[in-house]
Formats: sequence, C-alpha cells, structure tokens
Amino acid sequence: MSGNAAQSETIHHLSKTFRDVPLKELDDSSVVAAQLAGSSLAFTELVSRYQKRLLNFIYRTIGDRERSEDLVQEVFVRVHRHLHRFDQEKKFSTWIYTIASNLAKNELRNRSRNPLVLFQTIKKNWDSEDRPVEFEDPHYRPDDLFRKRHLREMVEWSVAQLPQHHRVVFVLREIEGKTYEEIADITGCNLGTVKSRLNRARNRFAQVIEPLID
Amino acid sequence: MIRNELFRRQMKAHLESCASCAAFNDSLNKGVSLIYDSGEILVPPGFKDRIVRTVKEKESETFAQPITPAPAGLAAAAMVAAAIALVVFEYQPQSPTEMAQISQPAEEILHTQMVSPVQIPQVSFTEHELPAIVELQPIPETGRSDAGDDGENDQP
Repeated sequence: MSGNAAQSETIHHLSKTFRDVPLKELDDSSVVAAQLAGSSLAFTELVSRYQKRLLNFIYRTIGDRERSEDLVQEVFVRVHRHLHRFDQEKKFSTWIYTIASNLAKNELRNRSRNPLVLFQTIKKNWDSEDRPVEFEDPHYRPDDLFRKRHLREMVEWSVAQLPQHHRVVFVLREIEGKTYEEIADITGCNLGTVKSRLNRARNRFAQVIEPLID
Repeated sequence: MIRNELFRRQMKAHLESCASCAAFNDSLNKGVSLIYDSGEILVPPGFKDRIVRTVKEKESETFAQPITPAPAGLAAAAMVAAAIALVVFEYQPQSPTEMAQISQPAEEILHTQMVSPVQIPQVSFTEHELPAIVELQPIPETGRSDAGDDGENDQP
C-alpha cells in the first residue's frame, strides 16, 4: 500500500472515530488530530477552549481591550493556517500561547516605536467610562462592579509598569499559572532567564502595587 | 508555589525574622491576589463566531489570490537573457571580411587571441639603412611655423 493511501485511510479512520466521540470530551491533542483529519467542528472547539484565556493573557500583556480582541483573532488565523506544522508530540496550549505571546510582544514593540499608537492607547485609557458593557459580568451588583473596575485598573496600571519582557513572564506565571518550563518554551528563553525575569518582575510589581494596596 | 519543603521552611523562618522581606512578600501576595480579585475579562457576545468567520474569510482570501508573481531572481535572469539575445541578434555583419571573420570557427578565433593576442613585427635595421628610411618618412605638416616653437618671436 502506498504512503498516500495509508495516510488517507488513517485520516478516514480518525474522522470516523471523532464523529462518534463528542469533541468536548477529547483532550487538546485529539481535537487537533480531528481538525487535521478534516473535522469541521474541531476548530470551533479549539476556539471555544482558548478564546477567553488568550483574550485575558493578551489583554493583561498589552492593556488594550479592542486590540487584544484583534490579536486573539490573529492567533486563531495563524493556528488554522499552520496547524499542519504543529508538532503533535508537544502541548498544544504551549504552541498557541507562543503564537499569542509573539503577537503581544510585537504589539508592544510597535507601540514603543510608534508614538501615535501609544498616544491612542493612553487616550483610550483616560476614557475609562467608555469601556464596552460586555467587559463586565452582568451578574455582579453595581458596587461590586465599581470595586472590580477600580481593582482592575490598579492591577493593569501596576502590570503596565513592568518592562515588556518581564511583563510577559509575569502574566504567564502569576495569572496564567504556567510552569517555568512552559514559560521557557513559550518565550523561547532558557529556564535561568525565565526565573531571573520573573524575580525582577515580582520585585517591581510589589514595589509598584504596595502604595496602592492600603 | 514553592515545591521544596525545606526551602519553604527556611523561607518562612527568614520572613519571621526579616521585616523588609516580610513586607515585600506581603505586598507581592496582596498584589497577585488583587489580580485574581479583579476578575477575568469576559469575551464579548458572538466573539467565537466572529473568530471562525474571520478565519474562513482569510482562508478564502488566500485561495482567491492570483498566481503569485515570479520571484525577483527569475525576473532578473529573464531580463539578462533578453539583453544577451538583443545584443546577439542586433549585430549584423557589414562586409565580406566581417562575414569571413564571423564564419571563422570560434575555437580558432579564441586560439589566435589567446596564443598571440598582439602581433608586433620584429624589424631590425642596419646603420646604413636607417638614414635612408628616415629620409623616406614624410614630415607631417602641422600648419604652424617652426620659428614659433623656439620662442624667439615672443620676445617683446
């Protein structure tokens, strides 16, 4: 049997298997395999799993809500386009976070080079009342909403004080709960660099947020 | 967070005795807990559909694109080939001599040029022949008088 025929038979077998099992019950690597086998719903399942996590990660890193949504879309465009190149021996979450991290870093770099973009971001943050309604969870009471908004602004401002390399590592560790090894894979740094950046980021964050806590 | 139990105990002991480290640790812990208290960002309604739609649109754009233009290297090579062809076909032999030169085999021409690129005749004269040759040489007329060359008439 030729290689192509064997491959198409494997794909046929996989697609038949994935048709029988709900995608929600599969782990990431199986959903990826289903997508590569031609399942039309597998990609939507990946979007469901990662849209919120990626939106939070990118937003915490760049601090711009609308741009974060655009970048999350771009992450999924790249995932869809390059999924066949993904090494299925590795964790899908690490791969998708790597794409998101690179896009976020590019965004920060572009902003630092383009004063107009930086100005637009700062201006947007002045008008905190103009934030979209869906930003908040409607289940909270108004005083809770106010407190949460205040807290969020405080935290966002404190995280924004970190240098960009430290910020990415800090968000991945303290907010996303990634391990040092995963952070090293995502950022492309070695373990020592990750620990050093995280240490500096924590020091800086603690210094910045300390006067705001009381 | 700290996996090593021994390290955890050492850290705890140090924080109990060192006020500045304890304050730092307290700020960090409070700050990180604030991040969690501030809540997650919610995805806007229809965000997933928007992403899937965008991905499909981008993919269809990719397939709808015309055939990609030839790489710059290929275009440059084509231009060079065209220039060479132009030079070769534009050259028309003007005389039978040129025709004969062109009809001469290329290897022969190359051999002639490589072996003796410049043919200088080796001529030697005896002392008796030389004055006769000099007399035979016509003196070129320049239109200027020889008197002007010695500068005598330039005196004021």
